[in-house]
Amino acid sequence: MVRFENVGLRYGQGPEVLRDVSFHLKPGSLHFLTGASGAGKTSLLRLLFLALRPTRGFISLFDQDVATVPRTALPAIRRQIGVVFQDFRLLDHMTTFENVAMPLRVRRMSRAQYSHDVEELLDWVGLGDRMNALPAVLSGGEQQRAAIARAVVGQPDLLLADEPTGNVDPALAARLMRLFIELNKLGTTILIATHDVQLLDQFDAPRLELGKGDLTIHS
Amino acid sequence: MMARARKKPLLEGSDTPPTSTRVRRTAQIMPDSGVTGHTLTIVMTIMCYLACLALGALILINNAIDTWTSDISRQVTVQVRPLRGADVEAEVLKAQAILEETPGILSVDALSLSDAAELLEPWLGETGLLEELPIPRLIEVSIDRGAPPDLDALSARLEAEVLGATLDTHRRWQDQLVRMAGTLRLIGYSVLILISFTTIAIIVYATRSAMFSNRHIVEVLHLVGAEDSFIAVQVQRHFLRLGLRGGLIGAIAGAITFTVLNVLSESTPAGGVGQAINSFSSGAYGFSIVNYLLLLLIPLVATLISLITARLAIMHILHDTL
Repeated sequence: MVRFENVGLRYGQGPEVLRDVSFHLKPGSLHFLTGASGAGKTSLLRLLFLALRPTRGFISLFDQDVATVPRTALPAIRRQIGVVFQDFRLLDHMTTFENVAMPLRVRRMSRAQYSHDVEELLDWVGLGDRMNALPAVLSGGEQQRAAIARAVVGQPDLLLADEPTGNVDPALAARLMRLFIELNKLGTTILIATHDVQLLDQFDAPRLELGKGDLTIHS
Repeated sequence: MMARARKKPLLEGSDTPPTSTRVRRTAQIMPDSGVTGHTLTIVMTIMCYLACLALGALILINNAIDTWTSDISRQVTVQVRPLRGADVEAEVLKAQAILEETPGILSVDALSLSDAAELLEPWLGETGLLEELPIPRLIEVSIDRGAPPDLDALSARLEAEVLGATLDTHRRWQDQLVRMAGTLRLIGYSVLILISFTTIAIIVYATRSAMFSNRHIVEVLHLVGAEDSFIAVQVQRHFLRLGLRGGLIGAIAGAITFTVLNVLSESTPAGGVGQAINSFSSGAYGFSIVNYLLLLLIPLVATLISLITARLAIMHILHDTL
């Protein structure tokens, strides 16, 4: 599914923020990505959702070497990846429904084709009565759920979440984690970046720990 | 996957049954305000208005030159100079006879001595001496443009048989008019090209600005798997509307300008700029609607320029991103 081999990353002429990072995510697995703030978690996720190219090393996504994949093939790969951003990145001028429907809209599906699925998913994440609300009037937890719904609406094979519980209270954090576990049970490969130690202790899943750019794997 | 899982809600607040009527509208992915604002619309409208004026001026020039050259080529003049020992009146009559028997000539009108003197009055003043001066006599000849006479042969015959006679076909004036028209046309086309390039530059700048101010949207679109062409369509549809709106308003303003100029110039003397402006709406040959329809080229071209430029600029910008 995902393979990193000796991956290095630096921004411009700066120091390497990731050094010789190697790991493998098997299909249907759940992993946590941990590390202190500034350890490189977000950079690693950016490499995974193809927002960055590595300075060196080998990255394989869905059995394709990302270094040799033509730019025109990237949308097809990205459609297999769902991303939950730490800051949600919902579009302010669009309703919850429209934000969640975005991955289907970019696949040039008509509203009639995706409307029912999106409504059903919003019900599923508890936003059935907030479909026409703009992100500005949603609470932090509701925005988080909308972001998760957008990430999973395209039925991705790989789900990446950056600090998905960082902005919510412990009770909602536990509920969101339950959602990820359910998705994982349905076959989605999941990588959750978090530095919430208490959250990590509640789940028995392998941890990829980043420290000053180096990666250590705890099974 | 969702169908398998969504038998029961995973999180709270999901009791509402799903119905397609619950969702109100589909918003534009790129909001209008973030791409083409009022200022850009005004600039585009002004550029289209200027393009209309330039195109209208080109039409006027062409109409005016057509009118002038057709008038000139419809008439020639025979000049009979009074030579010493020759009877000018007899030579004029001789020339008239030759002209009248030449096929392809519609009318022959010899100017009397007093008429010829009148022509010189503006330069020499009113004086009774004019008629005593050896003034050349002029014969105006209207020719059939459909079957014109052989002017070279006619000129040779007149020079051979009539003392002091020369045939002026006005070709020298015609050539000068054509040269002047060519220069004016060149200026008109240059202005149109400059306006087009300026518009392209404005659109490129506006596209870059729109992509920059909406980069958070572009980034989200990329990350959910949008192809470049999908993103380009979201942006370029604003520029399509911009070109169409600016072009139409500019063309309407241009048409109004020419109509107002036409009304204002109705009282000006014939043959002047006023008559040329009149020819825009009255038409040199009576089909003025064509001139107004030509102005519709402006919104069409403005839309195409706006659309194609925006598309190319967006694809270029997106190509530089991952």
